[in-house]
Amino acid sequence: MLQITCPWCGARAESEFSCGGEADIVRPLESETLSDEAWGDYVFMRKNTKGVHKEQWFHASGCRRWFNAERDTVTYQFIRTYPIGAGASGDSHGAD
Amino acid sequence: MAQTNRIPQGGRINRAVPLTFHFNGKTYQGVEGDTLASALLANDVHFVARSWKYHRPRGIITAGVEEPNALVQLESGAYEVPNARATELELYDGLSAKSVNAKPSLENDRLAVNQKIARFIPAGFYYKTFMWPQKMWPKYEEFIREAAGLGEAPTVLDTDRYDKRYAHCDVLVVGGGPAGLAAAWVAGRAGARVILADNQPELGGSLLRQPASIDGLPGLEWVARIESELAAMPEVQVLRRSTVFGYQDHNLLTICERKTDHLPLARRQGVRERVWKVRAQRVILATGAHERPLVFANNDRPGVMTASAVSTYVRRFGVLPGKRAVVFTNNDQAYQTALDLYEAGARVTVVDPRTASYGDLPQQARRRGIEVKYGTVVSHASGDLRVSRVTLSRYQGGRLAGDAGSLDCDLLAMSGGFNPVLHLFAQSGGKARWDEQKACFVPGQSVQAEISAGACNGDFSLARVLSGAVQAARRSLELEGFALPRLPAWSVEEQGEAPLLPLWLVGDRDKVGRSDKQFVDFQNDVSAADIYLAAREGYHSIEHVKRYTAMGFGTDQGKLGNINGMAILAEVLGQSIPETGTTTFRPNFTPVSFGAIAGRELGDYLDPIRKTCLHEWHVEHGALFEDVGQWKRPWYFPRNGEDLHAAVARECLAVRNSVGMLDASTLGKIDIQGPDATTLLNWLYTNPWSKLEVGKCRYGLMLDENGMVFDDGVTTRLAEHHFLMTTTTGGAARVLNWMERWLQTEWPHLKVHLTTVTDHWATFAVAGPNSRRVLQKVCSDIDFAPQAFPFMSYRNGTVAGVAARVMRISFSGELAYEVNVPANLGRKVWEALMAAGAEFGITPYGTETMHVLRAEKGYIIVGQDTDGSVSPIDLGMEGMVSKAKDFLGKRSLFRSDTRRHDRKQLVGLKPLDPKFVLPEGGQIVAQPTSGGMTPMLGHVTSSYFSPILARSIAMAVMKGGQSRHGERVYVALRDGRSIEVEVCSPVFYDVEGGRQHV
Amino acid sequence: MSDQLIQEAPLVGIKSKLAAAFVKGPKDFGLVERAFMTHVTLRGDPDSPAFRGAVEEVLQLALPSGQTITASASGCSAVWMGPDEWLIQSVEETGPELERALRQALAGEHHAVVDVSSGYTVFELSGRRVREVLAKGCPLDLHPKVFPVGCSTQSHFFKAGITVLHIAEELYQLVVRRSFAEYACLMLLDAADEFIR
Ligand SMILES: [Zn+2]
Repeated sequence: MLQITCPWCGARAESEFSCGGEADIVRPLESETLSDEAWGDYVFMRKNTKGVHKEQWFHASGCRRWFNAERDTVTYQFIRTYPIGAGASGDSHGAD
Repeated sequence: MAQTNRIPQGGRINRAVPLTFHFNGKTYQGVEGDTLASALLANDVHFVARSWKYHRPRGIITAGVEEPNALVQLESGAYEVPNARATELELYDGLSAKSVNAKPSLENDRLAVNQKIARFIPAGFYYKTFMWPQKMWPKYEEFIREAAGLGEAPTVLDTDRYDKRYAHCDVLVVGGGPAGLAAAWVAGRAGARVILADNQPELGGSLLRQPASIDGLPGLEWVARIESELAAMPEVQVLRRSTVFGYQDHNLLTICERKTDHLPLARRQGVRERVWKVRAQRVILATGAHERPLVFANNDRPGVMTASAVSTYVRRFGVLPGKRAVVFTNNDQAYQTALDLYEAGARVTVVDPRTASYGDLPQQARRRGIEVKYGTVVSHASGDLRVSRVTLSRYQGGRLAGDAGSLDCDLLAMSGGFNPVLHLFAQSGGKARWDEQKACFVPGQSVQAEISAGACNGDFSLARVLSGAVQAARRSLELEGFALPRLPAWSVEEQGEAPLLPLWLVGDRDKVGRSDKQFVDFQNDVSAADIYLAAREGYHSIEHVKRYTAMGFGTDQGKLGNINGMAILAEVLGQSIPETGTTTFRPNFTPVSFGAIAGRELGDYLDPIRKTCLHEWHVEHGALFEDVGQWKRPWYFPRNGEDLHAAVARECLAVRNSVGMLDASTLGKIDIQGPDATTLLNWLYTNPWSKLEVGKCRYGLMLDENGMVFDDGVTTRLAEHHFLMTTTTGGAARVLNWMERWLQTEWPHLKVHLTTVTDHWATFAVAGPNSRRVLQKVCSDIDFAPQAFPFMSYRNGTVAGVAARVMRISFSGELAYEVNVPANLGRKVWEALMAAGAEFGITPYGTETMHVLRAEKGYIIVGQDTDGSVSPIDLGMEGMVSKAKDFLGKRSLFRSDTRRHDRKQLVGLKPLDPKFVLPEGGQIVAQPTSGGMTPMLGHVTSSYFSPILARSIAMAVMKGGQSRHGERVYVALRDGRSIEVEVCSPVFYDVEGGRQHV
Repeated sequence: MSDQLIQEAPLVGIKSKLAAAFVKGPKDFGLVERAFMTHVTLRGDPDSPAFRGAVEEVLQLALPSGQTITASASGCSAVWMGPDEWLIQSVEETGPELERALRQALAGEHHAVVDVSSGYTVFELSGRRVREVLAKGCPLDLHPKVFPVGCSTQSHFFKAGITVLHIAEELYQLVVRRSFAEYACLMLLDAADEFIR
C-alpha cells in the first residue's frame, strides 16, 4: 500500500485515496467542431508512461479534494503532489 | 518410547514439563521448549518425509524457517494446517501431525517407486511427456495432481479468529538476534518509536546456538539484559513469534504474529494470527543468514543436516542428533558444531577441503583431539532411511583427486558457508551484490528507507555484527532527526578466522547425471544434473532455469538451494556468479494463511450493511430484504404466508387503486448551493436547467463522456441558487465524486458547493390515487389542491409536526408525493402517515413492487435496463437531449457508432402467452432455436407479471428495436424452448400519462 | 425539545447488543453513542475575512485552518474537514436554527450551509485501548505525538468513513454517517473483542 501526501492532510495510506488517472487532460471547448478522431482521442486515449507520470488523485476518505501528483510508474515513488491549478511552480510536497 | 537422544542437561528447554505428541500415528514424548523437529530428533526420528517428485526418504535438514523437507500436515478438522514446518512448530501437549507426500504411510509410500524410475523423469519431464495427445490431459492432470505433493487443503471451515492492525513507528527492526537487539536498544534509547519483530518465541537469534561473551556476560545473559531494558522503554514494542513476511511499497512491512499456535488446542482463545501492517520511517533489517548445504551424491539422506542446525539442536534443544558424526565444512564456523557434538559426547571427524585452517575454532577442535581430514571432501553418502556411511575423496585444485576412504556415521553436519537472508531487502526493491571474498550475495544499494545490519549484511563475526547494528541504528536516528544517545561499545572477543573455500558441486563434472543424485533444491527435487540438463537444452538465464527445473518454487522459495543452483549453473556456463544473475525474492517470505489475509472482513463484516432509519419498522412488519449496493431495502412485505408473487400483486394493486408507501431513503441526495449551480447542472445533465423555476422539479439523465447513461434522477430547485439532486441508490457516491471531480479539476472557477445529504433525509414515496388525502390529514400548511401543488413541483411544510420537503413526483405513474424529513424523525413521520392512511388501506411496499410499477410505465432503472453501453437515444429519450448547449457526453452522441440505427434500443416485449414471465437476461432471436449458432438481437433487461394488466411484460434492448414495434420475435430459454413475444412500446400502462397529473 | 423524545438514534437496531458488549466495563475500552448532536456543514472561502468574520460572529469561535477543532464557550465547535469545509457541532442549538443564523450572516458571501444533523452520529470512545481498537481498521497514526488532543481528521475504519476527534487523553469521538453507524459500531465492538470480553 502506497503512502500518498495529500497537499492538505499530509502523508496518508493509499486506502484513503482513489486514483483518477492521467492529469492535465483539458476538456476541449466547442466539442461539436471536433472530428470523431479528435474527440475519441480526448475520451479514450491515455499515455502509458514508463517513468514520471502526472496523475490525479482524490483524497476520498479525507478532505475530499482532488490534487495532482507526479509519480514514477517504475518505482512507485511520488516525486511530488500539489493542488490542482498550482501547476509546475506550485506548492510542492515531496513524498519523503 | 524414550528420548534416547536427549542430553541430560543444558539448552533452552524445560525437562520438568514432559509433553506427549503424535507423529504418523505413533506417540512420543518431548519437553517444553521443543519444536516438533527437536522432539522427533530427541526420539531419534530422522526419517520424517518423502520428497515431492521422487518420493525419496528425507530427514530434518535445518532448525528453522528455511526447512525444505520436514513439512507436516498438522492436526485435523478445524485446526488442520498443511505444510507446516516441523522446525518451527513449537511442541504442545497433544500435538498431532503426519508426513506429507506419503500415502498410505511414510514407510509404505506407494510412489516410492518413483525413486527407481528417477533417471527417466528429469527436469522438464512433465512438460515434454504430457503435452499430447491433448484429449488425454484430464487423465494426466489427475495423475499429476495425485502424485505431486505437499499437504492437503483442509476440508473443514477454519474456526479460528484472525485479525489485522495498522501500526506506525520510527524504526522497525526485523530480527531479534544480536544485531536486531543492539539496533533496537540504541533506537529505543534515543526515544524513537521502535518495533522489534522476531519469528522465534525467544529472542537471541544465533546466540541461542552459539557460545559468546559480550561485555563479559555469556551471550544469553546479555540478551536477557537487553530484553529487560527494551521492556522498560515505553515506545518500544517487541513482537515475538512474528514473521515479517513482506516488504511492500513506501516502507510498509507486513508481519504475521502467531498468538496461539504454541498452545494445546483446548487452551487456545482469541486471535490465532494477527497481521501487522507497519508503516516505518526507517527499517533495520537484521534477518541473519542461512547456512548453505553442500552438493554431493545422496546429500538428501536423513541424518544429513546443516551444521548450524546440528548446533541448534545440541545447544538450544538439548538433543544430540547422532553419536557418530562427520562434519563436512569449507569454513571455520562449522568447527563450533564439531566442538558442540564432541562436548555432547559424540565421536566426531571433520572433513575440510581446505589444505589447512589456523583459525581459533579449528585450533580448539584439534586441541580437543577431534580428527580433521584436510584436503578432503565427502563425495557420496550411503544408507537407506538414514545416512550410515560417507565416501571421502581427496580434493585438489577444485577437483576430486582420488579415493580417500570412507567413514561410518549416523550424522553428517554440512556447511558450505552462509547466505545472508536478503529476501526482505530484495522485496524492498534492492539488488544484491556478489561478495567474492565472502562468497555470498550481500545487500547492494538501498532503494527504500532501510539499512541491513549483522549477518544479513555479510557480517559474520559477532564484534562486527554489534558494531554494524549500532551504526545502522545511529544512521537511522540521524536521518529521522533524533538526538543520539550515548552509543554503546559492547566488547566482544574477536576470533581469528581463516577464509572459506567456495565449494559448489562436489563431484566430477563429467559424471553428473550418471551417479546418485546431488540435490540442490530439496523440496522440489532439483539436482545438479537437472541444472546441467537445463543448460544443455539452452536455458542460460537463471530465471529460465528456475522455471524449467522448478528450483526455488516450493513453500521454502529456495531459501537453501538457490545460491548453490546459481553457482552450479555459472560453473556449467563457464561464467561468474554475478554474470549468471541473482534471483528475485518476492513476497511472501513464508506462506501466509488465508485466514490472516482475510482478517475479520468475513460474512456480515465483509462489506458495510447500510440501513435506513426505518429498518427496524420494516423488520417488525415482516419485510424480506433485498441487497441494493450496500443497502438493505425491503423487497416485499408478505402477509399471512404470501409468496413473492401474491405479496407483490397485492402491493401493486394497492398503489394503483388506493395508496401505498415506499421507503426511498436510500436514494442519493446531493445539496447544491451557489450562483453557478445551474451552470453545473447544465453540464451534468442532457437537458436544460436555466429556466427551471424555484419550487419545480425536473428529471435528468447524466452521461459519461462516452455518451452513455450513467445515472438519472429528479433535481429540485429549492431556491435561486440552491438545488437538491437525487441519484440512484447505487450511484450516489459515484455521482458525487464525478461532480466533485469536474468542479475541482475542470471548472474550479464555478461557485458551487456540493454536500451529501443522503443520510440526513429520510424519503418516503406516498403513491396512489389516495395519496393526496393521506397527506392532507397530516399536513395542514401545504395546499395540496392540484393547481396549487402541480405535478413536478415542491413545497416546504410540516408533516406530522416535522419540517418536511414534499415533492410531487412519481416513479409509479400514479398521483404521488415524496416526503423528506430528517432521518432521526423518520420513523415518527412514517408511522403518522401509516396511521393517516389506514382508512385507505395504505400498504407498505418494497422494491419488487416499485420495479413492477415503473416497468408498467416503461421507466428505466439505470444499471438494470442500461449497462454502460446505452445512450439516451437508444432509450428513446432523444427529446431530453438538448440541442442548444454542450453537456458532458454530448459529442459522443454524434460519433459514427452512436448514430447507427441498428444499435440496441429499448423496447417492450409482450409474451404471446400472457402468463409466461420471461427470464431477465434471456436472449432475443429472430427464429425459434434449439441451440447452435443464432444471431442474437438483444436481451431482456426487466421482466415481471403485471397485476393491473393481468399479463406478463418485459423491457429489453434490441437491435433497431424502436422501428420494430409490432414484430414477433423469440426469447431463447436455457431449457431449449423459444418463447414467442411481440415487440412493443415499453410503456404498458396509462400510455397518455394522465394518472400522475390528477 | 419535544423532538428529542421522538427522535430515533442510528444505533437503535443494536441497542441491546451494545449494552451487553461491555462485560468488563469501559475501563479498557468504552463506546457510547452521542446521538442527536447538531451537525452543520459549512463551506466558504477561508481567505475571505468577511466570511470568517461573519462565521465567528455567529459561532463565537475562530474557524480552524488545519486539522484541528476549535470550540466556543457555549458548547459549539468547528471541525476542519478540508481547505474550505468545516463541520459545526453544537449541543445547544438545533440544526435548522444554526443553518438559518449562518445563512443570514453569510448573505452576500459565496458559501454553503447545510444542516446534516440526522446524517451523522457520534461515538464516544474512551479507555486506554482506544488507539489499539482503532488501529484494527484505521490506517491513521494516532500516537499522541502525532495526533494530540485538539486534533481532528478524516479517514476510514474498515469500510466506513470516519472523522476522528481527539477530545481528551484517552477520549476520542468518531463522527460517522448514519447509514454506516451500525456497521462501524459492530466493527468497533469486534475489534475491541479482546479488551471488553
Ligand atoms: Zn486530504
